[in-house]
Amino acid sequence: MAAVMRLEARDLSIGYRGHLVGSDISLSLGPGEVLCLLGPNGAGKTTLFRTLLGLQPALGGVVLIDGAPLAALRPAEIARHLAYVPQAHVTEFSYSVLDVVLMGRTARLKPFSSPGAADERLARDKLAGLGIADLAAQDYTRVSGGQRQLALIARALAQETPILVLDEPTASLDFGNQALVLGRIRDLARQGFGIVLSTHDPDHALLVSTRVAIIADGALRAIGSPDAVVTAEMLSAIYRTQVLVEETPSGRRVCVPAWESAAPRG
Amino acid sequence: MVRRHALVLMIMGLLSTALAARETGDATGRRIPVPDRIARVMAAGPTAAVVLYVLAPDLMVGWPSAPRPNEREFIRPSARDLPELGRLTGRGDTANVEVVLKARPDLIFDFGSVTPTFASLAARVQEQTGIPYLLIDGHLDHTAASLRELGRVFGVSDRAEAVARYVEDTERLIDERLKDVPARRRVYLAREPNGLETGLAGSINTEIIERAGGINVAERGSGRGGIANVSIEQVLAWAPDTIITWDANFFASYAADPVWGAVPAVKAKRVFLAPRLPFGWIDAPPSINRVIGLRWIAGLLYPEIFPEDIRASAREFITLFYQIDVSDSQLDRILAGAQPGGRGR
Amino acid sequence: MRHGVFVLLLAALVAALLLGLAVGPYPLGFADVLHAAARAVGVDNGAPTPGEIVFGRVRLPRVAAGMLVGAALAGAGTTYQTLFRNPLVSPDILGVATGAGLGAVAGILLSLPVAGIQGLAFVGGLATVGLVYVIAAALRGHDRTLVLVLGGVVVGALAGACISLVKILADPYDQLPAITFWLLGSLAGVKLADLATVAPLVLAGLVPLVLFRWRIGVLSLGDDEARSLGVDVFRLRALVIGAATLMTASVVAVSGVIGWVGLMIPHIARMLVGPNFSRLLPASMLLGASFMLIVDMAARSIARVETPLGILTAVLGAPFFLWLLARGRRTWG
Repeated sequence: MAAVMRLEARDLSIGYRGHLVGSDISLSLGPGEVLCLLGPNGAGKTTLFRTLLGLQPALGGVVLIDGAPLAALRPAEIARHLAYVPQAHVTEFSYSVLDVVLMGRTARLKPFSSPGAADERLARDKLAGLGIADLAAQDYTRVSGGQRQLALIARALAQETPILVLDEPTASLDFGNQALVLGRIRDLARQGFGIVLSTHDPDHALLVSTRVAIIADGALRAIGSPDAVVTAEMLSAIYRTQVLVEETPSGRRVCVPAWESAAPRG
Repeated sequence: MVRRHALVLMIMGLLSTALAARETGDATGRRIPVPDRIARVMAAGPTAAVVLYVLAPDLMVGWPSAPRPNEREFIRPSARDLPELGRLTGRGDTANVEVVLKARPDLIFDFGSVTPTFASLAARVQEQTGIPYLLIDGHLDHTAASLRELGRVFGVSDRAEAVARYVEDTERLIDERLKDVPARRRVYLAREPNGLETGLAGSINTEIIERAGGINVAERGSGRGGIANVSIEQVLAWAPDTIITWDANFFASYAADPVWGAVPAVKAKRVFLAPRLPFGWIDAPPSINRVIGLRWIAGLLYPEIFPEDIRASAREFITLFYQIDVSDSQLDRILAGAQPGGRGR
Repeated sequence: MRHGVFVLLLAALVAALLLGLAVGPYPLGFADVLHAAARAVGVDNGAPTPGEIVFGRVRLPRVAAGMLVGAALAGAGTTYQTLFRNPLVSPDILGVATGAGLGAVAGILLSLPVAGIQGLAFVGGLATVGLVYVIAAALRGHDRTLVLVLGGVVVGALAGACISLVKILADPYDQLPAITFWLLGSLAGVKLADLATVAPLVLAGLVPLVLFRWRIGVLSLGDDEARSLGVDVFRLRALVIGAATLMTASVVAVSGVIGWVGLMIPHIARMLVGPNFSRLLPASMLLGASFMLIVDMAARSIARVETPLGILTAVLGAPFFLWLLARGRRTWG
């Protein structure tokens, strides 16, 4: 059994040439953990993601995959350790859902090969595991947003990596689809995947994560367990509005704006 | 008293000279006032430039495009280094009207087609510059008459008469003797290095060939204009017995091509390079420089009927038209590739 | 169904090929074909008849060139459309055809022989794309695809302006008609020797496209996603642009500028077999070859004189495009 896979960032400075977006960011992730990056829009979450994935170089510090620096790895090698699930979008061309999932096999193929029968079976398995096997032949651009997001998760699973990185997987999904996707994320964590996801909805962080990192104004404000980090003070500070964190009868915690009363009286 | 009369007469005489302008007509039917004495003439394009150089080189103010280095030795020294003024007409109008005004010609003229477009251009330039602009018919059949007309306007009637007579003699000679030709030769004009551009029958690009008694294999179909591109298949289907070209690249390369080798003209070794010095013998420009081409082609196509030595004819033409003497070695260079079996007949 | 389409495309190509061999200004007989075939296998019938020569050295090379040109332009167009994630892209997006045009008209202006004109065209096409690439590399930190496209627009416009300049400088009796004709495209002057030079170059460009067909398709997802899926985007894109440019420049050097093929054919192919590059590339090339054969057949048969290919493809292409737009799909293919 190989050594436990860890994704680590040490003293990371992120940004673009001539423009520092964030600094002194350190975090780590292992199997079964769900790390949620929480913070307002424009805080630097996307930049951090792209740096962690190797899509842009770090301005300082280092990203390590199981101890090896990311900068020294080729894209194909990175793709065997990290899988990226972007926000579901419409592609220019009408690929089938199965085609999209098959693209996840690229890093596992030899340089000149195309996916074969075995790859196709695996792709269909991943779709089935997410409950969308019947979508395989459908036009990816015509299924619902939630289904597209699931298809992209299936693609990431087809890469057969230990770590998944999801960029705002619930953005622009309706409530039902949000619940669906979050549920699948929890299942995957239980299966042993290491998951990093970003969100700007603190409720989602509270629902699925094992650890939460607060990113605001380019800095890592806090990192720790959800209960310790997602507090009314912290949320009020980063969102610049009064927030209450309350416990529901079923024992979960939710965040609500701190208004006078619950609802306007009729 | 006599002195006063003389004075008045002198003044009247001077006034009349200054004010007296002739009127002349041009091919567009306009009546245009021109000065009595012309000292400076501008040619609007290359066709007119040749006519001007032939008739009255001392009146030239410049060339529309300067003679190329290899042409210079065949042009009179006094005309060789005249400035380049650009063209006023035709494709690529480059003459600036300011350049025209700076050159201060007494007269501008063009020699060629007389279409409404050219007529309006002439009228427009005349209006802008105040310089009379004549449009003269340059068609082959009208050439002698046009030359005489220009001779009158330029004040070189004797010279114009000699040149016009040469043109008429040539045409008459050819027309008469062609009656005796049993079968007409089928000719293909090969342009461009690949030889696949040609002039259609009846176009200005090939009218010399047709006037000299050749049949242009490229019949004018529905095509307009003069130049067209064809495939080598089409040339083979036409099966010309004579090929004429002035493209040195084509002339150098056709023999090595087995496809051209199947054309009857190539098999019979009847491919000829049209001379281009100092001006083209069949085109470039399509002006009176082509008159020698008539004799040349007639002799090429029907040597029994036109047995005259082309070297002698060429020398006579060059001396008369371009007013220079050419040596034997110069003639050799001019006629390279233009005769069957190399130099001499 | 998956394979059915390809069988149909192949059959269409064979039909177009036979038709193309049969149609032309020179009346060929079956005997000519037989003699040419016999000679090819070593039987000596004496001196070849004109018909044999036409078939073996004129018709056959021209038809082969037509297939090559059509396939290369369609293949390059498909590749660029996939690469730039935009179905409205033509092979000239980075300026290769305009650059080749500039090289060729410069060659005509300098009165070079045919080989010189073709050589300059080839070099001009490659140099133009090279220049665009250098510009894009110098402008770091921007969206690479956008910079490439804009660079192509700018350099292409510059090359176009230079072409106009050459037209002004050219001898209007001697050179201008040739320049005009070259810029409209024709296969009238194709020889066996041209094929011998162009075919290997097109194949050389095709090899990387075929080998990396799967990863090229992945590129159509966008740089970030492709990279995260394991594709070395920077290197692969450079290789693919180089290959497509090589293919385009080598055929344009021989046939002149022929538009619309690289734009239209990939569209039609996409409607037939879908956007998957592994299937789209061969389908486009088969379709492009057939299309070019038909168009070239028309070019030499409509009149005694040659009709430029670019005119025919535009006459067919523009209405087709209007029809496509009118259909108004949300996404393409």
